[in-house]
Amino acid sequence: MKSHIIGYHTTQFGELWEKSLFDLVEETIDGVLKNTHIELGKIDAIFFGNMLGGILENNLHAGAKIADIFNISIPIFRVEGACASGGMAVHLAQEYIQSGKGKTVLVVGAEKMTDVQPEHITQGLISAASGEEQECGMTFPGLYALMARVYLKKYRYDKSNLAAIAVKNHAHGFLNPTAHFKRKVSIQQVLESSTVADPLGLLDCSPVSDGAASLIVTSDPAFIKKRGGITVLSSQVATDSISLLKRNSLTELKATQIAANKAFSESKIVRKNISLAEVHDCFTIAELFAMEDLGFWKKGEAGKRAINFETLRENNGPLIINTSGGLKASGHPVGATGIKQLGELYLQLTGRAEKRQVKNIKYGLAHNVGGSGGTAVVTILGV
Amino acid sequence: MISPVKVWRRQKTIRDLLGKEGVIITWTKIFTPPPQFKHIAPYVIVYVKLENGQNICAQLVDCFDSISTYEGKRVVVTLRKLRESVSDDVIPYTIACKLL
Repeated sequence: MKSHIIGYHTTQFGELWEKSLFDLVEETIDGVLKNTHIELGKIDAIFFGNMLGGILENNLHAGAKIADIFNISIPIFRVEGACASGGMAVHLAQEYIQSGKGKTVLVVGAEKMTDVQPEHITQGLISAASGEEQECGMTFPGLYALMARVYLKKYRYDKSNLAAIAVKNHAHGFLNPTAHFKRKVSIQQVLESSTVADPLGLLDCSPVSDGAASLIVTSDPAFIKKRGGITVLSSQVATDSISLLKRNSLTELKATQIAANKAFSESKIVRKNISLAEVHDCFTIAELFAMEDLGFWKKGEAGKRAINFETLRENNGPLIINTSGGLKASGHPVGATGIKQLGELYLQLTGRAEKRQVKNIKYGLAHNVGGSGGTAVVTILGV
Repeated sequence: MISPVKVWRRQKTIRDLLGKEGVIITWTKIFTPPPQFKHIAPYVIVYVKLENGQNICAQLVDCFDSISTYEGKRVVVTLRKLRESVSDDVIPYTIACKLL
C-alpha cells in the first residue's frame, strides 16, 4: 500500500529564544502524536531532518538525544541534505515504509538558528557549498545573486520581477498563524530594503528562523481508515554538482527538473492537475527558477507571470503557490522547511487550512532544494 | 582554526590558475559575509570563464573605481590573503581577480 500522511504539527516559526533545538523537537513530536491520537509505541521509526546542529551547537548523535527525551529504543535516523534535509527525511521515511521495514513512521525536522550571530549562521550555511566558493567569501545569498543577475539580463527583467515573489508570499504568510512574518510588504519596500548580495535585498531573502515540524506517515490500513490521510503519490530526489562552477546553465536547476519529471512520471499526474504547490523560495529568484524547472511555466516566462501575481491565492488562478508564506514569510528553519511544505499541503488537501484554504484541490506538489541546487526533492500528494 | 594541511593541499592546485585570463560572466557584492571576511566587506565576487573554459569564482581586488557593472570585463587571476586568521594560523592565500 502507498504511504499516507495522516497527521501534521508545526511549532511557531520565528525567533524562539526560550526554546532549544530539542525543546522544539519535543514540542512538535508531542503535538503530532496528540493531533493524531497515536501513541509513541505505535511508531516504528523516526527520521529527523536537521542541518546545522553539529556545526552551530556541537549537537550530533541526535537520534540518541531524541530516544533520551522520549525514553524509546526504536531506530532514529538523522538526515542531512542542507536546506533539503526535511524533504529528504520524508523521502527516506516513505522508502522505509515501502521497503517493509515498518508501517508507521514519524518524520520530524527542526533547526535552531537564532542563538548565534548572523555571520556564524552565514558561515554554517555556506558549508553546504563547494570549497572554492567558500574560500572566496561566498554566501548563499551571493550564489543566488550570481544566478539572479544572469536571469534578469537574459530575459530583460528587473528587480521588481523578483520583488513580486516576496510580496505574494508575505500576503500568504499574513494568513498563516505559525509564520515567522505575518505582515504584508509592497514592491517598493522590497526594492528599498538594504542590499544583502547585489542584486538581492533583505526582503528578497528568506529569514533565519527557529522552528520544528513533524508528520506521521503510514501504510497501516487501520490508521488510514481511522484517520483518513493524503497519499504520497511520488517522492523523488535528484542531485547535481555542489558548485555553480560546474553547471552548464546559471538560469535553471537541473536537479529540480530531474526530480520533477520523475515524480510526474511515477504519479501519472500531469502538471495542469496540480492546483497547489509549496516551492523552495529561499530567495525570490529561486521561486522563478522553481516555476520553470518544475515545468509549470516556460523558460523565461516566470518573471512576467510573477509580476502579474498569477499564483496569488486571492486571484483564484489555476495554480496557487506557497500558501504557507513560503520560506520567505513562513520562515526557513532549515531542517523543518521540507516537512512544513508537506504539512501545508496536508492541511490544504484535508480542508484544515482555515483562512488560507484553497477550494477544490485534489493534488499538491512540494519542492525542497538543498544548497544552490545540488539536491532537490519533489513530492506529489493526492487526496 | 584553519588546518595548515588543508591549505597546503589546496595551494598545490591553485598555483595552476595564477596568471590565467578570463571574462566576467556574472558578479555580486557581498554585504553580509562569513566572520573571516567581515573586515573587508562589502566585497565583489566575480564568476569568471577562463580562456581554457574553466569557471572560477573569486574576489575582485585592486578595483578602486566605482563601476556600475562588471559583466564582460576581462580579468587576470592573482594571489591574495583575504581570509582573516588568528596569529598561530597559517596564512591562507587564495586566488583573486584583477581587472585588465
